[in-house]
Amino acid sequence: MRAARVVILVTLVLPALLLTPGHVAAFCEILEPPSALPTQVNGTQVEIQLTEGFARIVIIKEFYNPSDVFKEGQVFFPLEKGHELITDLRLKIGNVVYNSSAGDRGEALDNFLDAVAQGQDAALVQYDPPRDVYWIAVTIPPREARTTITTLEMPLTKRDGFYEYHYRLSVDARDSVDYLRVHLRVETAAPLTHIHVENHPGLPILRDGDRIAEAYINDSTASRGQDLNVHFGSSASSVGQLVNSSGGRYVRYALESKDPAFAPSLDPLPRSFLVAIDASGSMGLDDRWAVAKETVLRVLGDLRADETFGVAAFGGRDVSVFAPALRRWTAELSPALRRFLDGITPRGSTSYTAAFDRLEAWASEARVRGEQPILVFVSDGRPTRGALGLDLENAFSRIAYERSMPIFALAVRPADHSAENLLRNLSHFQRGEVFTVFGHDPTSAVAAMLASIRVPVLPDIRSEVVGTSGVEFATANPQTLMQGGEALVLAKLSGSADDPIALRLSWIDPAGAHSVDRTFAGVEIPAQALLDRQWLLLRIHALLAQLRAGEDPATLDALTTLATENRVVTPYTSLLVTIPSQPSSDPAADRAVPAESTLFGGTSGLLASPGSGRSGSSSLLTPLVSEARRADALRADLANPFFAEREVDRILYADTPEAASFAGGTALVRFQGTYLQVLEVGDELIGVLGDEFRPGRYLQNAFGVATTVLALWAFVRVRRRAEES
Amino acid sequence: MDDRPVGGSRNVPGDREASRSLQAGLVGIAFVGSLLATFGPWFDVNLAYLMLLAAGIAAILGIRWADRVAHATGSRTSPAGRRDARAGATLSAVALLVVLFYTGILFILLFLWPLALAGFLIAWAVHHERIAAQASRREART
Repeated sequence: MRAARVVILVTLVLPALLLTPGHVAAFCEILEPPSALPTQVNGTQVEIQLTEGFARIVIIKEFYNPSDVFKEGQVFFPLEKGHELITDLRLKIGNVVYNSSAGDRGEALDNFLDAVAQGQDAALVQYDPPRDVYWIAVTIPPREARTTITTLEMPLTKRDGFYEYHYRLSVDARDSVDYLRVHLRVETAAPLTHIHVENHPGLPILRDGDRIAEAYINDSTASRGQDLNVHFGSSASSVGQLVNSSGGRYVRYALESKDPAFAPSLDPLPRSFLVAIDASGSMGLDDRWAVAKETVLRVLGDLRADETFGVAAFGGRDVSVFAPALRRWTAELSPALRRFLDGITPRGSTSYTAAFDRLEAWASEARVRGEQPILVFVSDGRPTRGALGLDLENAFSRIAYERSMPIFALAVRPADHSAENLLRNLSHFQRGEVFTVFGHDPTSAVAAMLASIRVPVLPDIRSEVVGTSGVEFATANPQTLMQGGEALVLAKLSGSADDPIALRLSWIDPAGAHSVDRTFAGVEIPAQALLDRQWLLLRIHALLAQLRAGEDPATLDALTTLATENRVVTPYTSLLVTIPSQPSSDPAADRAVPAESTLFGGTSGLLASPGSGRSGSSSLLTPLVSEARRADALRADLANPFFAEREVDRILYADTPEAASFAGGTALVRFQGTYLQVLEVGDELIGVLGDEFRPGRYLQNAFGVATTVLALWAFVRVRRRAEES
Repeated sequence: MDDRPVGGSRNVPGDREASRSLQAGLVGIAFVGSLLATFGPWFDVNLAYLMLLAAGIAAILGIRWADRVAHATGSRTSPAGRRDARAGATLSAVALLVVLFYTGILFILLFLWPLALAGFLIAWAVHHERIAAQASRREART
């Protein structure tokens, strides 16, 4: 039985996990082994529900298997660490909806594999530790559809008086074949003062009273291939409550940083700009390097005397640093920094994680100095080696989370939208944002980036519900107040909605101890939906943070119990849906793995030149047509982005011993052309050239030039003498 | 040995054609050389066909003018002119062979060699018949 499980695991699950997605990783990717008839998404329906400090998103995806073999649809959710969690999974077949059961992660996987082995339909949502993503596996019989209903929930953070929620609608719009429907509903406890949807300025927003707003997108065209950025705010209501059916009372209280009570104590943490500048070959093109240098100088020019910086330039195998340790910024350093940048010639491959060791050391140093590390990533958005796709997003997510470091990106003259989008994915979901320099002047992009940076302004604010025992806080206690943010108390306590409540926030600054006391009569506190879910999410995140610091059995037990009771997927718990077996004459035949879904799936994910896919005999071709084809293949090979953007670190001929040694090694093929390959070996990109690139091949060109020159010289002489005689 | 410069003399009618033959052969070779020089990533098949066409036309003209010199009477062509015509014919033939090779026509001719041989012999006979008729007309006039 164990062996059978292993076989099923390898044949059904791992092939998809081992493959690289065909496009830049984004929210909710669909992945499966290569197939002539891949699983398609018939349609997507998204319900987005937003309120103060909380978002619930229900994603309904209808998968269809157009082939004659049993398939498994895979949906990957690279969730924002510390924010989103999957809180429900249901599977719809026809008009019947099957609910999931929560369980321990390993047990749920065993049950899923058992169900698959017994011919049952099943769906599983689980955390994948190696890739640090959540994924849903859905079994789909031939020519049938399966619909997954997935719920995501996340707390929202207030900034400058507003909440913002971002949904990657562009991914759904791209994948959904038949329909795309989005319903957005914003419902606040206090009057809704502001709502707008960036990227969709013409989208009608329907108001229902002063606290509810709704909007609808009903097809892919209306989505305009854009994501959905919802920006909303309510009048400064500070308190809300919910008493649920089980008698739990949840109270939420928020005090904005601009409140006069905080004013005397606010002291923004000094910034430490950790600048990682891409100095690879592609940065040497299109005047990018000059713009990047100017960008870095302008970013650092904003630092005050008590703030520090570090600059690391990475290109090829090299990482050059302006100084090994963080430096305090002074205007006198500007010429030295300019000389440092002028001394770098952009060349070689691009690994976005090449400078991570240095950046992590600087981030630790900044923390020791009592500064806020801020990673500023300056690049054109084209990594060519090392971690790519989901792995790259996860690497950025890890460094941002572990070092409490927001990531901002400055896209320098990106070649296309995908390059800009990659930098967006690496920054926007790490508490930062991307700003693009399109022309030669980075002033406005740098100014916008600097204006968007928020640092902690008041640490160690303690929360207290005065006169009440048995209070369970979901929010951190003590907590840190951010610039433009709010101090938030979210507590679970006993009692009814009519009971008065007294809240206290206290902190100590150099001038002494301070506190803010607020008392509310129960009837004064407005009801706020989803407060219990908000409390639960924050509680689970707090427990996960404790487990990341050190795996304590009691904490693990508490988390598993809480997540299982509330059907939340965490790295330790999963959701599973199993459907009773359908009668089948030969289930084994139905579930045969398609022949084309081999373990390593051919060259999926690789770049390939048009010439490399050429087939057919060349014996009937004239020499001129053969030469034309050879020239096409050569041109296609030379136009590959690695060569065209000078990203190759080293070049070898294919018949050298070193190149031969790559064949059985761990070299990763990044480009496969007709006459050349680009391999990632260790920490460099190596171009391996075939015989077509040997100088000897070009003797015929030299002969042709010499013949032409001689013939023309003789022609001129003959003509001149004929005229003379 | 005639030491007149290569290119013939305008005063001898056959020498003008010999000079043209040599020039045409050199032009044909220049086009063929240019074609070889463009091989590689910068090769353009349309330009290559144009160059082969030009080389082919030059080669045919070169052979025709050399042939006229070969069949001309001794008084119309100097020995140097004959030498130029032979060189022109050789260069033109080489250029033509290259054109036939790269366009694939040479392979067709080799594949269909009985037909090609028959066609060549007929053309040769017709050509000689025409030359003989012209010679007898000239004799009749004189």
